Amino acid sequence: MIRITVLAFLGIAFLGIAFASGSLWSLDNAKNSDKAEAPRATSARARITKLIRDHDTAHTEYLKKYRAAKDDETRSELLKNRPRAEGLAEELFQLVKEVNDPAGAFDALQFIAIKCRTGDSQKKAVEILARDHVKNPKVGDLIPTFAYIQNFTADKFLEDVREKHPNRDVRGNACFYLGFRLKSRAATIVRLTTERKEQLESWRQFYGEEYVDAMLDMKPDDLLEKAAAYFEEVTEKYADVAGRRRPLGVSAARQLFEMRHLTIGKVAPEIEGEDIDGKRFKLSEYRGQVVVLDFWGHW
Amino acid sequence: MYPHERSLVKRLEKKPFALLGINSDRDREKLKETIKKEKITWRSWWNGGSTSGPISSAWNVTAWPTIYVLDHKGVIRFKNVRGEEMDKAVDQLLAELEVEKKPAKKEPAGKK
Repeated sequence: MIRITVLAFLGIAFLGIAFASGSLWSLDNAKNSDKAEAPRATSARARITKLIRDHDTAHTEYLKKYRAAKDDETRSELLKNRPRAEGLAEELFQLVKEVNDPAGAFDALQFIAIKCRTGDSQKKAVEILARDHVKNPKVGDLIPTFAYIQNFTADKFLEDVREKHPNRDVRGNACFYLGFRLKSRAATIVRLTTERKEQLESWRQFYGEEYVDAMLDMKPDDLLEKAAAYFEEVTEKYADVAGRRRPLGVSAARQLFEMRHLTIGKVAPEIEGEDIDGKRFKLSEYRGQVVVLDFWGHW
Repeated sequence: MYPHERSLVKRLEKKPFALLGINSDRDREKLKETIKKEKITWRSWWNGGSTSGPISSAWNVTAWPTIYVLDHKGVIRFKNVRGEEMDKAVDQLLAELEVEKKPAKKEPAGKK
């Protein structure tokens, strides 16, 4: 279990790098903003680029060493001294003020929003993005990384993007991830007030009391209803739009199916298929018995 | 996971209880070896050799392991309970089933 968690974290880290370097599904070509700038702006832009690149290089290097490490001691030492994006936030915010090129500012804010996972820097970056960059062509790259950002400004940002962004694909993705966020939030509230009460304090410390208490004031059913409305909007208006792994319509339909048929109190849908030896069997054959369904894999 | 599941299955082998897996391994032959080696006695569906196979996709499973506990009527009653919590959930549902099997037997008829 611990190993899987660590892998998941590394996975997120890799994803972060891939996004930061802009290698994943760029929805628009945003390379036309480099022309004719005042020298000062160019240098602020250049400094932003360098800070980000240096951090990413150091981080890749760190991951390589981490993977190659032979024992836990080396690993925990590496983890302790890993390059931290948080340390760059102040300088990047200053450069965002200086640079008069929206693409440069966007890069810096994207970096902070994705990499600085705790505290006020992330929130502040998302606030500036929501204020100044809703229609930026590169917003599409940012949206999936907002899936789990724990603040309400990210919802407002996605809401604005869904309404105002000139690109339909970007609007569709904003709509899907709004639904995803609200559905996850509903699940989090239930978890933190029932079987995972012991995690509540660490959530408060990590994401701030104000945010966590405001979240707990929300009603999970209301959030799920709103989430379903966003998913329905996706299936109606954006079904063909590409998501990260599959068309948004497919993902939204799965989310809706889960919300309608796979929640506590619903009769489980039929499962029919082959067992490991190739013999067919059905879940309904076990009616009359208590059943534990375990989605598992040996990895 | 395996030792806990093994002991749960063993403890309840005479009860109306089944542990069923949906396996997303890639290599079926290797999986057969694992099943032997780890003494996995419970049955699993083959998810087509992928975490995005048909069953896990239909059930929108994105994290592994994912657990559902169903009562004897096939109703989903618990999700993602593990260890002791899983045991407790199963025991509760088995107790419910017992009660339902013996209706109105608490007060024998004819007396009083």
